[in-house]
Amino acid sequence: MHADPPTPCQLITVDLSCRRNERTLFAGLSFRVGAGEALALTGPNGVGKTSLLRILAGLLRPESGTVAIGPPDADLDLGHRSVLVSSRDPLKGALSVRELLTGWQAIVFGGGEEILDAALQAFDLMPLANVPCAYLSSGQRRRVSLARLLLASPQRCPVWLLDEPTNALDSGARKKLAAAVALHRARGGLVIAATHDPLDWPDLATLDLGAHNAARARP
Amino acid sequence: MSAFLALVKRDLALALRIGGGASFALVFFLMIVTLTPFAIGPDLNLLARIAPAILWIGAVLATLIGLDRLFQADAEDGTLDLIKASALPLEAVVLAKCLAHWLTTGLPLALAAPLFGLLLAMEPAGMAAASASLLVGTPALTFIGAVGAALTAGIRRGGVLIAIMALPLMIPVLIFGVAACNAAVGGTIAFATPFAILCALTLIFAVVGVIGAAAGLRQSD
Amino acid sequence: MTFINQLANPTRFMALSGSLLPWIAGLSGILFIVGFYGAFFSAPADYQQGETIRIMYIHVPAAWLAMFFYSLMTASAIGALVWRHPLAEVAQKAAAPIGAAFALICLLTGALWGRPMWGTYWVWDARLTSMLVLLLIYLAIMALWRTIDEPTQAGRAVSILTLVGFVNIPIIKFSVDWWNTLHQPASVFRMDGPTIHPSMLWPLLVCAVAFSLFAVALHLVAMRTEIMRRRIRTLTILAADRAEQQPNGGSLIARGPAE
Repeated sequence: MHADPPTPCQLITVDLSCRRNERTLFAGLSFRVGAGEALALTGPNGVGKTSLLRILAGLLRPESGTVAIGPPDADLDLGHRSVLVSSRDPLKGALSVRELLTGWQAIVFGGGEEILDAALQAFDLMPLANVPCAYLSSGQRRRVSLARLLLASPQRCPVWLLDEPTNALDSGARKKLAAAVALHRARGGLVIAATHDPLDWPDLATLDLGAHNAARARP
Repeated sequence: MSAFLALVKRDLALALRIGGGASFALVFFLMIVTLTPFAIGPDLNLLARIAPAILWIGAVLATLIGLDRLFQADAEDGTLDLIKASALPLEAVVLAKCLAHWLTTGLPLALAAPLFGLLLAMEPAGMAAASASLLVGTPALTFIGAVGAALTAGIRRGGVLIAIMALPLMIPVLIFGVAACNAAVGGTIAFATPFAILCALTLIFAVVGVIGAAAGLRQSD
Repeated sequence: MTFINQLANPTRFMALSGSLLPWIAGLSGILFIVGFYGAFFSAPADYQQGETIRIMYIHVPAAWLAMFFYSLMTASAIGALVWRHPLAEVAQKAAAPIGAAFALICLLTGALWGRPMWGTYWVWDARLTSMLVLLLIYLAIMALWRTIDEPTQAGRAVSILTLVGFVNIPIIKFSVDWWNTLHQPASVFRMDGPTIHPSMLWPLLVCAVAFSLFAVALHLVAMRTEIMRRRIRTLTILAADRAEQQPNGGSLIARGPAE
């Protein structure tokens, strides 16, 4: 458990727009997510939910506009303040679950074995710790993917960016995810999830990109 | 530094386990060395004369093995996005992956070169020169290939494209590698001259290749 | 046929091979002592080749075993493809590295033998070259084994490659001979004399039998290892499934080497 007081953190976007393949996916998007808050991105396929998450994660440059995660930290750029769980599972079939997560810790997140064990525990992965990823079912793979959220320290990476996090998860695993999200928010972290499924998280704000685009299209 | 080593270790583990291709380059190298005499005949004098050329062309082609998956495998499953969130600069990530690739490709080629030189009736001095030149020259091949691998990370059928892009850029390394081998067994120039240029090429491509590949990965999204 | 069927059951195979193994290995050891005594002390040196003729006692059995193991792989490949027999796959997989090792031994001893004869370690002699190509085919088969994790899928793919290779071997042999005579009208050196004196023949035969038994023992050990590897793999997958069915269950998996 982290004894530090919750970081007063917020994510602010100003006039964000994104173009992919000559199409403007969205434009003029400004929103703010504060500490402890959660935002669901909804909208039809192709509206730019994944692109928005990648912009927020610093992996994609917006056509215009800015993203800021505050309070600003001189040492860390955007990509280092968030954890993105994309719809793909970055698993290596030849590595066991524990080897894989240890590798992520060493390369990306830092942290010791007790953090790793807690992450495995949180997603019911302990019995699978020594199973090579090649043998996992899609739900198990998804849980391994999500476990990385708990490897990152909430001080360094207060922003969780989730792309269709509940895909392939059964009801038990969804509850585990909801619990992890609730704990993260209680610690002052913030969560943004692109989703088609309704999420039963408390106090969940919704940003419908499709509606946003429709509103802008009206004169 | 520990993140860098962890990345190298991870790539080595993946290469050595099932599904990885750690020994493929070496086998491919042996196959090229074996095929050539079938094409030009078993005349040992002739083979000995062109042995450096065979070894170096074999090394250049064998280096391409595994390059297509150098970044593509990580790009496909999303690992690359994860690694980009690391505190390591992308240049260090490229360097780590190149190091792992070289340890499973270039280094075994250089170590096996004397043995394969036996097949081509090389003199001991020629074998030593081949081994030494491959040892310092193959990293350059990996670094050049890394640029092609980075540019095709998100492209399907990138493998052939890498070969087409990288092979012309590998020509200088080939020239001075073969020249060093030939100089060691006689000729008008000293071994040190082409060998020193080969070392310089590796240092240059270590910088150019790493920066170029990192830039290629940055634009890939 | 019933005996074969019983033998082909992996559990029975494990029991039977386990009890046979010490005998085969022991007999092989005794024959090695006798054979090597004959090869290195009792048999005379060759009047032309001198002491180097003694390499023959290793070189020739290695060559014969390299070819034998490919035939074994071919038979297993047919068993795996036609009867879908798991033990045939296991036999085939276990044979590949052993055959490759004997091909390599044959090539290395051939090179050592050639050094005093030809003044160089390697000439592109038709026999040696064919053996080198056989080694390459072995390496290709091993590479395919190493790339596909799922045993049945890998077994089928390798079986096809093995059979294609088997059909190709006579063609390769013919082509290499033709290529060789085209370039080298005069044969430099013949590995097998037309006649061989009985004092050399008996150690050679004993060595051949000793090497064969040794190879059979190696093959049995490799097959047992492969069967156990597959069992561990199956258990790991089953454990992963079970962990899914009963969350919060204890660790069902033996701690692996990763720990």
